[in-house]
Amino acid sequence: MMSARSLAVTFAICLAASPAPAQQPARDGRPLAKAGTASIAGVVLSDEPEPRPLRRARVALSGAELPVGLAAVTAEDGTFAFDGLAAGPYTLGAGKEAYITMTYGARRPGSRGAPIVLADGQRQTVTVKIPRGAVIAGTIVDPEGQPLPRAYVAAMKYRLDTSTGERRLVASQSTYTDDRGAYRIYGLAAGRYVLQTQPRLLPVPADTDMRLLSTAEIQQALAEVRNGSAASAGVNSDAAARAESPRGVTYAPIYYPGTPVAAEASTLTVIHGEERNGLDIQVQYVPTSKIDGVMISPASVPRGTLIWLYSADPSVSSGRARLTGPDADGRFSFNGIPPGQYTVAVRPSPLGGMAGSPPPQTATGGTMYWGFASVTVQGEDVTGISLALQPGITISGRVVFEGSRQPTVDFSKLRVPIPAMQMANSNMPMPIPSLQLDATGRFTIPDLIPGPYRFTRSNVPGIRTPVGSWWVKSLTAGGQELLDGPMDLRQSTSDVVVTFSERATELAVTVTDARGHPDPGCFIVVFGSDRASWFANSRRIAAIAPDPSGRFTVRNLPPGEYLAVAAADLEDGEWFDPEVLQRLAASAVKLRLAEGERKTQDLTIR
Amino acid sequence: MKIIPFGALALALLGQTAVQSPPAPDPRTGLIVGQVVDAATGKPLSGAIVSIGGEFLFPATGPRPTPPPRILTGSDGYFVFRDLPRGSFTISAYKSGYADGATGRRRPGGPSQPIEIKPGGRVGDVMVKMWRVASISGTVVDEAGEAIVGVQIRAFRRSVVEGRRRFVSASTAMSDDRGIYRLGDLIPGDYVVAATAQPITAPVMMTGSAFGQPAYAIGRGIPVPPPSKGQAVFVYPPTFSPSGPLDQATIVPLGSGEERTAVDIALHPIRGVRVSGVVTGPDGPAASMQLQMLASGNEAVSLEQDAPSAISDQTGAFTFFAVASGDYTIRVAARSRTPGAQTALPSVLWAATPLSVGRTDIDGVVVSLQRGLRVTGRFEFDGAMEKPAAQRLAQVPVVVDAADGPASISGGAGPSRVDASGQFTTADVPPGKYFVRIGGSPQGWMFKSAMYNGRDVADTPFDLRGGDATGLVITFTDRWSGMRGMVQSADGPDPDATVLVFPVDEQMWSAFGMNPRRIRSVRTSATGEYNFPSLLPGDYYAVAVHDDQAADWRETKFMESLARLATRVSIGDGEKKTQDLHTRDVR
Repeated sequence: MMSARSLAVTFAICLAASPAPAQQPARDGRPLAKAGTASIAGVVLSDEPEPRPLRRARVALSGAELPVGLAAVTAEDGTFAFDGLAAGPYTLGAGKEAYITMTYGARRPGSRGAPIVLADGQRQTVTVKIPRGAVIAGTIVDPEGQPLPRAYVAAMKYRLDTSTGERRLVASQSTYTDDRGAYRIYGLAAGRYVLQTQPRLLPVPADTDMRLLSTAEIQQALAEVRNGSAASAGVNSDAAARAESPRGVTYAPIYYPGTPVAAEASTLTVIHGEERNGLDIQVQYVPTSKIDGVMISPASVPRGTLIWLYSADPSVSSGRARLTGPDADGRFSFNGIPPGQYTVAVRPSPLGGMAGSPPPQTATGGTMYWGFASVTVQGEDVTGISLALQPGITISGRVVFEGSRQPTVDFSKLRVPIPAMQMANSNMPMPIPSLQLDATGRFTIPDLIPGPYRFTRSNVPGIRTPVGSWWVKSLTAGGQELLDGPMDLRQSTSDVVVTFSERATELAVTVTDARGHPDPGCFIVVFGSDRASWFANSRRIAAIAPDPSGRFTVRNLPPGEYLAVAAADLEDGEWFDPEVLQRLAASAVKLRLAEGERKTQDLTIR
Repeated sequence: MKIIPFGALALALLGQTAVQSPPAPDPRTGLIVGQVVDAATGKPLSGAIVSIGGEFLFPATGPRPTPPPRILTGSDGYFVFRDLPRGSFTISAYKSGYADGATGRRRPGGPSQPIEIKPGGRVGDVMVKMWRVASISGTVVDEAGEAIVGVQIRAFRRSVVEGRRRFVSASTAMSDDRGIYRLGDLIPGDYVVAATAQPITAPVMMTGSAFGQPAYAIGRGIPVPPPSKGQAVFVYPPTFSPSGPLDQATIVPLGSGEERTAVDIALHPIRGVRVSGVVTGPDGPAASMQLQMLASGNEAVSLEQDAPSAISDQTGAFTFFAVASGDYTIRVAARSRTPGAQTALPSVLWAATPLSVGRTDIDGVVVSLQRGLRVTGRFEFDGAMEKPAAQRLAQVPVVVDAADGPASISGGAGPSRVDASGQFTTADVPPGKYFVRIGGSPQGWMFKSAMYNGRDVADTPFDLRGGDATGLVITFTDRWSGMRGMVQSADGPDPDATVLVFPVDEQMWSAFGMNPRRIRSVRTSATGEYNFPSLLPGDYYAVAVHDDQAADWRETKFMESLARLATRVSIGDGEKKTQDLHTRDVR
């Protein structure tokens, strides 16, 4: 009943926004928004050659002066109004079912628009145009050509996953086929898509085998029933039929026009308002296989240790991993696995010793062990996978403060959060490493799984924002800078140095348009001119939004050569995409930052 | 398979002496071959997933065997299961676009019939029929004739619930960008179709602030009403095809595989008013409570899952922003989350506040939550058998079954708790009329009675009100009573019949809760035999009808016509009655 209904509402209407004087009295007597004298009114139109006003569109207003967003529904003539607003900047967006939600001033769906800055008493009029989404439709059929109901169909886009640095296929919109095997996806933003379908099997445990019978097996069985006994003439063919090695089958994701390999899928380019029918896909069965292996460990594993199977397919989320437990001899198996590339892993676990003796310490002093193996499944059973548990590595080093003023830091009281790191090229969620700091400022990170790492976020404390008055100047291991490329942590290291400095570069950018007026509707991307620094969450890439006074400022870019460009319509994270940076480089301005330099750069938008 | 030498010896001896031989060893070579076919056309179905189940999967001793792999049928629809032990098996088939099939099933959702296999036996020609599902489609438009995108449409199927005919939710679909919806997985029956989703009014949480202003929320599937004009706010009421309440709805009869199109719905907004107030519990104002505004007079169709609802904020205040005029009950049924309580049983806070809504706003409604009530008592075992062990007792589920109307709490009343000495406490329920029944008896014991104040409240409901019910005695007996026999039709034993059994006492033909013990049915086997292994002593009507006529039989009026054709049977204490029947035609 009710509890099943999710409250993740897509849009809310608050009566306080309506032009009606029937205001909901505030519950506690406190006014919720500063009463003001400004207003925003306007009309929502369809974005097409002959724009029409759109009734029942929803308009949302947010801003620093509004503790809670306001919303309104357009009237029969497409108009709306927000009254009684305080002076300040506001963001306005409009949307409607089957249309694409747009922010006022944005040129593309999903990108930031232009703020509407109101003065006291100002009556601002705006027009918002929203495009109608594209529609794609078709039928999914099974290997016999029969319609396949309840198959999952998704329009997917390639997105840069900033936490792993890889391009992944992510579903933009999805649906299920109806009883005729037909699907219809509407409201798609213009762009390039890959269409994927994944038919649904019975909701039973995935490793219950499902088999296709051969004609010989069926004939044999019918003959046995008729004859009443396994006739000797039939026994040989019976053995032969069984020797055909019955293969389990399942459905695997298939991409339009009909390939199981994402890289070979057709790209569908759609424009707003377009309707494309006939995007049909016939699915195929794929053979399933069994994976058998053994976990080898120097000591007994804790009870409840799990063995994981992750798919390396870029469109599969790590949440769809399979699990099993090893038996007393460390043997394990996975059933019903479709073809593909996989990783079998044991996540870091402490190992026990023999009864009465302490747990074995790794060579590096930690106590956690882990194991990985790559498995390729191609339709045949896979045996002999060996998962040898290895100790984690230990990274240790010290913190150094540059400059004349050393802070008096009681390191034992310092809580240093390790910025979230993730192993690159891995579908596996990794445990967050822990950091131990001693009184002299030496730190140790034990039990790390060797591999390439990158930060999962760009706002690492110390890099873009200071810690107190200190900035991270460098992070080296054995003298090599780790922050300017993927961090390859393969062996234990004890000479990591984190250097803090109070001096940092500062770059301020002012943007004017051709007529010399400031253009608040964009943001600035500054990136190192060396392509080697073009990776996810690199400290040499910054996307800067304007501060309230319209200035763009970024601090602590490491010294070096940079390119700076104004970008109007980038989606979150696109500035880490090397293809996007390549495109932006063409119209960028070159500049150089020396150590500790403060510089101002003007950019003109054409 | 190795022949056990002992068995060979026994067989050899058999020919020479009249000594009783041990039962033939089971070579576990049983074979079943069959086909999945479309029930309407008789054509084989490809892509059906066939699985086999039976007692062999749950042996009394030893480890559970892995179930045999499922079979995916090819274009000839055949399936084969090998290496089966003796016993009875049910084969079921699943295919999207069809109602699930099973051996012996004669109608969608009807009872199945197991297949018996002797040791090493072979059975061919097993047919599993599957019925295509039917569909209803149409367009949804608003008062300006514009198609409404993304609105939830619900199909209701006419069914029998506790002796009464009622429309019950069957399926939902969303309208697409053209306003077209399609409900495509319906089993045959009579349907009505409606846009029923209503908005939720929830407090908008302000960061850093304890109090929030309620927001009239429009979630997925709810049509956007017109903007308010002056004092007037608008809402789309639940609307049945073509354009009104249930009593003006078009009833759509659907046969198997039928496609009905143009079942259109036109929505018209109506004015609503604001209803606001405070919900308080025994410990003061109740925050984050979900309140539902249930319209009275809706016994014929269950609209509760889509009723307008509100959530109370931190001060217990709630608002419904646009309620159409009419009579309602504001209902709250919430499990209270009291961390650290010693009892493992969740407790319930509930309220059912009546309200009449006219054309003016109503403020200051007080909804008072009360604690739920419990039933406590003990188990007794009447018989010579050894009483069940303490752990087994603790697993016996005691069910408090609502006597009137649909289940009051989503997800049921929650588990009961039984301690090692057989004392039980049920979960909290709101006050009302209830039965007390058992969800499953310990091995070898039959649930006999639940006595409270001199009445058996497993058969006759009691009023739980004003305080907990204590001192209930639930008795189990080892003197099993039941009924079995043979069903004959004009052509001999009837494998296609279903035997229906219900009490002679007409009072028990309605409001009997979800699990009445004395209103039962069972399918005949392939040899025309039927068996109720446990049926309580009492006076019953028993009648055998063709399985096709047994759908939705537990309806009061239908039971009256069945009673006229039935045989009266009395079952005594511990009696295993044999009663042969003739198949009757109830038309």
